[in-house]
Amino acid sequence: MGKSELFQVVESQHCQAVLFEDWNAIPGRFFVANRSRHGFNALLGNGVVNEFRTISGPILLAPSAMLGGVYDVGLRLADARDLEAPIDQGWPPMTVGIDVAAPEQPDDWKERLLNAIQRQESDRSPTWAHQTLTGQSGDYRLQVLECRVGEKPSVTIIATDAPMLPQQLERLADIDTAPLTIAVSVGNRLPRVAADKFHQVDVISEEQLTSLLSAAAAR
Amino acid sequence: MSFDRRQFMQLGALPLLAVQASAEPARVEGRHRARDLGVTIGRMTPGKMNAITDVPGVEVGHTTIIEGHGDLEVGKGPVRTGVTAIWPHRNIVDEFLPCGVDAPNGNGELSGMLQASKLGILNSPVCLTNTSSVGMVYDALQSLQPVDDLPAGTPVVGETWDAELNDTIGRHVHAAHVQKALAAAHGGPVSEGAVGGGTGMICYEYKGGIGTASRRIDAAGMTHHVGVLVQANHGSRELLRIDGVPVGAELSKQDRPKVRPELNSILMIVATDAPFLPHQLDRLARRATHGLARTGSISGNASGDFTLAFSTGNRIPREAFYRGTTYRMQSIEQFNIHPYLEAVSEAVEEAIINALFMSKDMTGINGNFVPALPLTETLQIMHSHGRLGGVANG
Repeated sequence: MGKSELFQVVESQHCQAVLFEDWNAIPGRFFVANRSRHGFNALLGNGVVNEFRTISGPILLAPSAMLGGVYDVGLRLADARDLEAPIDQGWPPMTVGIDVAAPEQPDDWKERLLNAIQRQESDRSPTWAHQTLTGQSGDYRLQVLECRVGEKPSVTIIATDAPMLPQQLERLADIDTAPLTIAVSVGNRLPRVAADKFHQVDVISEEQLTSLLSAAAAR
Repeated sequence: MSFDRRQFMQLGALPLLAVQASAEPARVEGRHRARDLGVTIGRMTPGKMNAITDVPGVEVGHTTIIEGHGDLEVGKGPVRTGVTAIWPHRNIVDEFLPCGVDAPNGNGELSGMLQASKLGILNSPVCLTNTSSVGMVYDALQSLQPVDDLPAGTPVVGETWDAELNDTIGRHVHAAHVQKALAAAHGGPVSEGAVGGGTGMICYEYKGGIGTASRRIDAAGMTHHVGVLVQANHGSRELLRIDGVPVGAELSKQDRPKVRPELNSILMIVATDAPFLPHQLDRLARRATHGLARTGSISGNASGDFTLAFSTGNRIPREAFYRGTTYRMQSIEQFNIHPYLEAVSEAVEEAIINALFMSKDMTGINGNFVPALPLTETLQIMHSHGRLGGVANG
């Protein structure tokens, strides 16, 4: 993953894993928000996102028919870190269904996917169209992953290193129109859940947020 | 035997112990807070005042308007209403606080909900009043906002409906009443019952109104408080539960006039001095519903049930919020939030019970009469269920 990148996309076994910063090396949590539209409902792991507003593992994208199996791979990633399933060690895996047919998979596809994520190396070309865009707003970077099925947008992931609170990320997700938009700020890496009684977070001003929303909308 | 609160306190814990052992509770004269009569809600420890004002900086003031008797003449009365003002801190229009909200049933008004959900900030005093007075109170609070090139803050006004007792259509709350309540606000003990915005309210078909309670949280060498103030105007008598005891169902067996079914609402204001972020305060706000439910409410279809939770542990300068680079906030770690969630549930439950215990009988428009919760019978029922005792908290 290049230093200018906020996330890396690993492609394996007809799935994609979006890894924020160096997820395999540094545990941590980031603030997250999402918006769903048009009846989108193929999403697992959303309970913790709604309650705690944080994400601590990769976002996994897969054909909807494979959603359970891919969720299970995400769970194994989290189990490898902590079997108690704390919310700062990759549990629960945020797993998103893409509306494409699920191709036949080899028997060991879960292991292959797991290994690819842990190695952070793709082992095949993408199953569905996607593109990564980058942008800048003042001192802050934006990186956007757009997934499409045919001509239709499917899922958008917007990441920024601007330090933002979950409510601000909701407003960032609001600028998009895809069936599912996920906004993540890596500008505050939150400590382990039980590390300290308190921690500090930085928050961008409304003025900066307005600039960031404009930059994201203009992508 | 009968005793008032002063005599009760002189007796100390002895009557309570006697009650717990075998004797029927003595007849209660006057109105008293639940804990003073041996009703101990939950397992956590209240703050010194057992009030929202246990959160440092929080001040509460009431303007109570009680005028006239007899038949309703819209615009003339009788009047049984008012306004309750809460200062989260005195400089709130220039130093914002993070806040969160919840609405278990949204048939009502709490202005500022949208700002709270989108921006996560509170930048106004909070006022509670009756349904028809929201506009006037809103404008009065708007006048407190600074006028410059930054956006003005959003006044926070909540309402519940008091037309059973009050000439609510007559709109008897004016800017001067708001200003008086704001000016009268103070720390320390908070008046409860039929005062301020709670003057004409009905709760579980008994006289309701304003109630407050708090919990102290000691952890890691630090002490924080969670304080709650409610304007209680909700609930069906048969559903009322106090500390788990079906008091309402048992009182309903007695021959008392029905007042009206559940049509109304409750406003729940939660304050803490622990440093929370807005999304964490949403979580606190959601726990208020647990305390409400413990008293028997199901947040009926017609209810306007709203919770606003704010933290004085983070202050955000207005200029920094709108302009400049970044500002910094402190956050309690998720792992440590649990006792605060429990504190909200307990304090809301006790605040509602305090509103009932502190309210007296009231007659309003057209001679409509709403009885106070009968404390002697209530304590007898609590006693019969083995739920009366503990140490009185003076």
